Amino acid sequence: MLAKLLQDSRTIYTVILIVIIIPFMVTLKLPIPVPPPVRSVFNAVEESHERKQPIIISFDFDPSVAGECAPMAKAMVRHAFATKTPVIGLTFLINGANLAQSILDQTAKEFNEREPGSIVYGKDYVWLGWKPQYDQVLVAMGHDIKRAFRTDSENRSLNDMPIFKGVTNFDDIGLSTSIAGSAIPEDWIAYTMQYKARLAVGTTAVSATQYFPYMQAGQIVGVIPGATGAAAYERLLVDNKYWPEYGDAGAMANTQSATHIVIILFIIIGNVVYFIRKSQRQ
Amino acid sequence: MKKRLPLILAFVFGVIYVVQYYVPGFASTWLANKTSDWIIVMSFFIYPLAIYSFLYYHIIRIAKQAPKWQYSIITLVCMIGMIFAGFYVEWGTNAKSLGDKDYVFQKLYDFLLVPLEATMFSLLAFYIASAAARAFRARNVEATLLLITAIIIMLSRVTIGQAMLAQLPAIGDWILEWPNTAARRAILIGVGLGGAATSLKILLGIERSYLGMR
Amino acid sequence: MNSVIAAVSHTTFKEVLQRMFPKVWPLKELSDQWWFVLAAIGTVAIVSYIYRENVMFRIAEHVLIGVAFGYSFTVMYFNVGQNNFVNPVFKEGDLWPIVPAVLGLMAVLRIVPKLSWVSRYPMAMLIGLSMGMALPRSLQSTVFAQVYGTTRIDFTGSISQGWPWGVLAVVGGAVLIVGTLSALMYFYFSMEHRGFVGGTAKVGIIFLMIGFGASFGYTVQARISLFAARVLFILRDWLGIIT
Repeated sequence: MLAKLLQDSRTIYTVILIVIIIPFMVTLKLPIPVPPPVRSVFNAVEESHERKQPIIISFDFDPSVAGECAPMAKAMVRHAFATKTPVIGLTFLINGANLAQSILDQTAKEFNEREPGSIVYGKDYVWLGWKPQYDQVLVAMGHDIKRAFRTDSENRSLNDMPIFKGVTNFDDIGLSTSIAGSAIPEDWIAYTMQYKARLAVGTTAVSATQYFPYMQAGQIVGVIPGATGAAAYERLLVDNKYWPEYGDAGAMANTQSATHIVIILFIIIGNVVYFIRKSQRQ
Repeated sequence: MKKRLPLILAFVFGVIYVVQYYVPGFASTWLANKTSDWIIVMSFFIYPLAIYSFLYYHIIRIAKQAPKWQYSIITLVCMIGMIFAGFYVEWGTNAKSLGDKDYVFQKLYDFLLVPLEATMFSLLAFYIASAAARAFRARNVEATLLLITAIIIMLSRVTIGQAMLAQLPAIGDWILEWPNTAARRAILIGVGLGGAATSLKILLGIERSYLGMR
Repeated sequence: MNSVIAAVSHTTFKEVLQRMFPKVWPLKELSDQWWFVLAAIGTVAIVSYIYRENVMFRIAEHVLIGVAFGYSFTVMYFNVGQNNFVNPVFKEGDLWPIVPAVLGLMAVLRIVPKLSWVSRYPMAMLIGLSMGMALPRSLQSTVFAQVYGTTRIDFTGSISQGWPWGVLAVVGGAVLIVGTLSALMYFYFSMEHRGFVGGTAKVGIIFLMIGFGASFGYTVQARISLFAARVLFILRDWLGIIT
């Protein structure tokens, strides 16, 4: 009977739908594991703060992967604002431009509601907008970031902004993070290697495994893999008292657990049925 | 000249930029900056190709009353509406920026584009569950190894895994850090060498398909 | 004009609905509430596809295509066209951007059959430039740096961490070297996979299967997260059932 149920895709879809919805109603707080690569990214932002250098966050994702990438972007921006580390925001993916700008503006608004005037545009963060042909832009940034962009997204000159005081190229940037759902971080690594930029990568879980060789080779300091990586980063923010509560990724932790268990059960049941039928045929 | 000059141009520009990587100095910096400026403007003026393809496809479907041509009207209306909203916000209002949350362009983005695009890709959750139940079988040793690794990684990344076995996250980290890295590194080296070979073929004019030539 | 539009769209409509439905007056601004309803309808329309293809899904799909294209055109104009061409040329008097503009327009001539040969020149320049930039950089990051990474494993540093993680790190280092070489051997097709080469390739397959298994495990997580985020939007942001 189980085998027949598993053959019908609509049964599977219904089970998955229920298993995803129900855990949101359940308050069950289990500790979120923090993988070492995520901790490395967190520490790199802390070091940028100690060196009083701004960080670059490249929001290279669009709404299709926002479910995974937006929470980690928000967590990194919160971390930077909480430590008063200036953030230079940009994107190389056109469909994600306004999403990235909302993350920066909304997070600044949250901090300013708690402490008025604490986050100022031009001093604590800047939004450079979107530019095409990111390979050439990255090479130009390696020489002079202000020259590569010239103005922010609203055509305001970068030379007048306090955030760019003393910043010329990647030597003056504490950490550059590319948060993406595509292969753009690989190009970040390739095109900024000659400038010895300090890089980190935030990526969807699908692509996460391919960045471990870069991390082992020392080309990037760490990887934030998918929504569980974002939840781990949120846990680090809470543990270090930079932010009082978990964000969207932490809210999805129970759902992740339940759905993973169900899918593993599907795999096990499917294989048990397969082996039983195989032995019956033999 | 129509066929030979583009190949010569591709070769010359390619060599210039290979040399630019290895030779530092003022010329290298000037080249990097000028290239970036020019390529960005070129991209903007090449964009009409995309506009032409998009409009041509949908207008022809409407003109010929192809099957389900009414959907093309919806597409064109939404496209014009979004462009109108953007230009209205930038030129006709006191919005601080195109992304100002109080104005219609950002609202259309937040409440139409984002949910629709995000939901479209989120349907894959159902398909991966269906594939897991119906297709993933441990038919041989390699497939069994793949499934066992997948199950360990899946459990080690979520809260329930750590609750089941405290060392599970560390086991998952070890698998990702060493055997997974080995496999991915081999693939990466292979891809890198293949990419370099393709780049050389294009620069030397052996590969000409990008110009519409054989 | 702007204030008239704002007054009519926000105030009058709001007052009419408030009078019609006084008991069901939402706590949020009416205009925001309707936007959330629109987003929720779009989400449900797309999800309905898993039951079967239907008109609502098709409409939502085509709305997405139209809105996405309109959005990208607008951002392209204001982020690139206005900032990098219109303002420098017409406000600052810098005429250099006209040269790449002409090159870009030459590429557009591809759509005219008799003049499509003109588009080959700027495309050849672009491709040559991109390949020239990519060649040394991708070799450096995907080949040389990776080979260097395989040789720079710190065995002595790992041993000092003691049992068990230090020993496991040393084992891991050995696994990395053996795994990388054997998986590379699997992809080497210039020699027949027999004898020593065949045996090494079989070991390589084991490592590749572990890598793909790890990737599959993460893929499941990725897909689930995307849909969970949509459910979070429906339950928290729209219905307010959870906080």
